[in-house]
Amino acid sequence: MEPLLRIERLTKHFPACAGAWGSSAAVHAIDDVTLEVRCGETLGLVGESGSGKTTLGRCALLLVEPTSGEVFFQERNLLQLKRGELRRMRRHMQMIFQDPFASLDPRMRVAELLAEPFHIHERLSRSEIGARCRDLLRQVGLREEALERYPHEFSGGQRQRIGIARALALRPRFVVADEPVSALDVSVGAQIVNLLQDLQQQYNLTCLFISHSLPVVRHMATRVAVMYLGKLAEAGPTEEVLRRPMHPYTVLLLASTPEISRSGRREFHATPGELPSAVRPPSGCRFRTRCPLARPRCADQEPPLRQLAPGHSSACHFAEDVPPCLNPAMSPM
Amino acid sequence: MTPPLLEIRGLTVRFHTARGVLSAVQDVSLTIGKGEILGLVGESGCGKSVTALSILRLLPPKARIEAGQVLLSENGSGRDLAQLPEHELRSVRGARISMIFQEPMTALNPVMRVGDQIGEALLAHGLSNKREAKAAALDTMRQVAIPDAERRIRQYPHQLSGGLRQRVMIAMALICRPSLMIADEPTTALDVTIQAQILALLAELRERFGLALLFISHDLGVVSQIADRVAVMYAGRIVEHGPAREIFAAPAHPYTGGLLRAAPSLGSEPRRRLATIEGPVPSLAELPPGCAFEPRCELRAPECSAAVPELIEVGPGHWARCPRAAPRNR
Repeated sequence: MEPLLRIERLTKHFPACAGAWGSSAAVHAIDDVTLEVRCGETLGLVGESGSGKTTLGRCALLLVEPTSGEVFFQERNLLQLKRGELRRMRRHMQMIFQDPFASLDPRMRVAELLAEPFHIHERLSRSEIGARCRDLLRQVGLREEALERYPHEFSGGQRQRIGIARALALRPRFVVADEPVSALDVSVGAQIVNLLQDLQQQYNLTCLFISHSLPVVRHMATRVAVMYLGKLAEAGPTEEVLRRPMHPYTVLLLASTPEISRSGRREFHATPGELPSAVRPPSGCRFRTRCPLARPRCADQEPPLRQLAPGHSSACHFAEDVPPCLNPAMSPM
Repeated sequence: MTPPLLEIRGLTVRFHTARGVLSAVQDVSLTIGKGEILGLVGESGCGKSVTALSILRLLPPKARIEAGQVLLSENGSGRDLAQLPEHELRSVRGARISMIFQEPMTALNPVMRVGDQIGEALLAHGLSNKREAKAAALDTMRQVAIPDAERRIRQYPHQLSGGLRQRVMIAMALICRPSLMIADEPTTALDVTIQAQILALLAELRERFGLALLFISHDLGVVSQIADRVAVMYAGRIVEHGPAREIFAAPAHPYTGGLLRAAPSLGSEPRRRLATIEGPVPSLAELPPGCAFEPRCELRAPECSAAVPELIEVGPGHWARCPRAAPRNR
């Protein structure tokens, strides 16, 4: 399958104030990440807070200007487009945000929120826009009365539905969904996950699905990319990565994911260590400070992303030695 | 039979707001034994945090405990915390029952060294002098496995990571050696790898000190890993409670079953549709007269909307507030 979005050697550093005298330093949010999202697939992007997954999602849409690297959408280099061209391109690439409380203007009625994309990108009559808005609402499972109401009158789940309707208004080809269910209750989150899956089929959407939760990503994504401290640790087909992880960090994430225990058996896989500073990331492999497999070579040499099985790559010198995953819910492949 | 460490009987809490009176907690009864971990689960707004705050009467001014008892039994003597005069309750707060919260950064004082914050409870309760408090703080920091405690004791909260801040909170809650710790979503703000560390720590402290825990969470996976018994709340009431194993292996209330099926899991079939509970969580201002879950329930029957169902025992120590809950093991 051909890629719809291709990110090449993308790096994003944010300026950080370090030291009492304001000497400049940089937060290494993303360092040299190459990734593609193929037509029609959902690529899951997982990692803990500070791994750079949100920044990567924003760079993919050029909502954040990368420090270096290229972003290709439909084979066109977004960084070389003129302003007007980029603006026209944007209708094909949209974003669903985590917090529907923060991403909807509280002073706009739903009718205005949904009509805004049409005002910007299409010339439609008022009645046509009205019809499209009603249609959108129905598709995300809201009633027409919602049009005259303001965001604060809705629950979190309903607000997320409005955010999704707004993102899909122009029938985009590509959507970045940044933790779309993390702020929602379990019962409501499940409704939104199902809605996203339905709409994705209906619209033939390509999706970059960002989440910290492996179970949610497993549910949504055909392929998964695992990030750690601004670097890609592992990428491959979802089931393969989760059942036969080839990076020790993926193993740690899997083992730490709390699964519902129905047998009363308890399993805590508490591994000591925390995420190091992104201002001064460790030399060599960034995961080495927490890695059970770390050897001297890991501090000296940065491990390149190597393909170890068809479409399955890992950035670990000792990927072949990674033990099978420990989560009792997963059976190894 | 000795009474349980903490027994809540018929607790009802109402919020008196400009838009009317809201019953956040209705007729909640719970027990926690010595050294036991009780998981309290439910979705946002179900009343789990209000229940926890009521135990130490830390409710916001608009909320009032309208009925119920909170009985704390230690060393053969019992006290009703709901009736205790304020100055006596102060000797319970932080000393016999302590509390940790979701977001340590907002609960910690940003301009006070963490060592002083940890030792403060001992001074406030008049249990030791400054020198002793400092030594106890250092010891407690080691108990909660804060690495390099001698250096950390002089640091401020902003110099610590999220995981270490939560350990500082736990040290503050532990220093007076309470018999019960209330943990309100203690790992929700943390990454999964750090969450696993904190859960392991709490389980270890229970073993070491015989500490009882009221563990509040919306995450069923986390609760199934740590709790001995579980109570499930919905719209201000307990809808099911019982041994953790029973609740997760054979949920009796349709809401519990629905929650368990709705949570995506690493063990389930990938990319199938998630089971959902249709409809929104009800607003406390517009609760139906009967079972609050009735509008969303797959098993609803005409009698469900007539009156709030009673809790019935469906197995040994396992209760569910649903007439349709199938009795088991009888």
